[in-house]
Amino acid sequence: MSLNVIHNQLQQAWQQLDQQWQKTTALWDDPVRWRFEQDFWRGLERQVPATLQAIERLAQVIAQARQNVH
Amino acid sequence: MSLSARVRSVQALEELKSALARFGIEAQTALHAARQELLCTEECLRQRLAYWQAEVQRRQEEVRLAEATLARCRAAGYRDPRTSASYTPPCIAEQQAVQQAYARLQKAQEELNNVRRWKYLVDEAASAYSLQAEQMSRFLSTDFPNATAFLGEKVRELQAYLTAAPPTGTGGAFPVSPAPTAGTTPGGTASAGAGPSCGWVDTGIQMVSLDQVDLSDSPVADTGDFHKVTAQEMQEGLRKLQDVVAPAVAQGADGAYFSRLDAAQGLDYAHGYRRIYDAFYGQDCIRLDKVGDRYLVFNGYHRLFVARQLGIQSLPARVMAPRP
Repeated sequence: MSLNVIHNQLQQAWQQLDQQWQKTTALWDDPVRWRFEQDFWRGLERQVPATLQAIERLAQVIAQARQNVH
Repeated sequence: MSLSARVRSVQALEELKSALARFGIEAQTALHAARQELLCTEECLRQRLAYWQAEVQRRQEEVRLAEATLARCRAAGYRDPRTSASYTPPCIAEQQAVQQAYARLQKAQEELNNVRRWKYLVDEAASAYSLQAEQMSRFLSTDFPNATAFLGEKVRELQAYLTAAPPTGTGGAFPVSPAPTAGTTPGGTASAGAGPSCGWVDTGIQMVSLDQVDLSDSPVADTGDFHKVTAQEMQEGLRKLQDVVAPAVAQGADGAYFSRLDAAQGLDYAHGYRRIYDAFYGQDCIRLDKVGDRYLVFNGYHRLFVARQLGIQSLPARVMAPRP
């Protein structure tokens, strides 16, 4: 599986989870949720885009390497 | 000060928990696949590096042989003893062979340098990626199980509350969660008793006009969203409510009355009237929050959806209102 496919699949999964989160926060608004958001969700919001970016960067370099190395 | 829990859909929390679990698996799979792809690329680059290193050596040997051949050719020159004239062979082919060997060597050295350069760039990108992947992997293996377990616990607490809450209460309020303690994983245990300044009062079971119920955030869009009970079963239940249960309750009937009625008619709980009573007047009743002249749904989206489909104007529901 190419890194571009992996990147797209992870991005799609993340979008789906984020949509579910938005839906849930509209129905769950109390200190427990705020704490959950602070302790877990914000960390996830940092980690996933950073991972997607790292995969994207790696995919670019690997694609260029494959094109240029004979 | 305690603050009231504000969860208007247990199902939404369950769905979030499932979505988190699915994402965790997909993310782990993605990290594994990316790692495999990276290993494959690194191996490919190692092979190309070894190939061009060997080619450089082989072509260096070609140059050495070509130069030796050229040297032998040039050494074949001689002086004519009769005329004293020197004869030097042109060695054109040998000179061309040397030039070609050098060109081939130069090409191999360029390719070798190119592979080294790209290997360096890939190694650099791989290091940056691996650092991030390691953080993500750690997050998935530690924070994720904690978060899904926490949500599972929260769902169980809410379900337990919905099952165990008293039908009426003096100062009864939504379950409250203790204010979270800094530095701890969220997971406050639901308990009764909101603070006097921020609680909700249970106003008991009331007939509520469905026009005033806000279903804009309902997770139920069609009959495909019914899982525990089918839409058809719910329609039959609502008809029993309208035809038998609600009129009897209006005249003072309670749960015991409907249990006796079921026994008299030979109906088990699943098909009887007691179940309908429990679903609308008992522990499983619809729960609404009164905000202004509107009602927000805490529990009962499916029943409300079917009721609207059937054109029912009002339903019994337990109404919580802000403490004056």
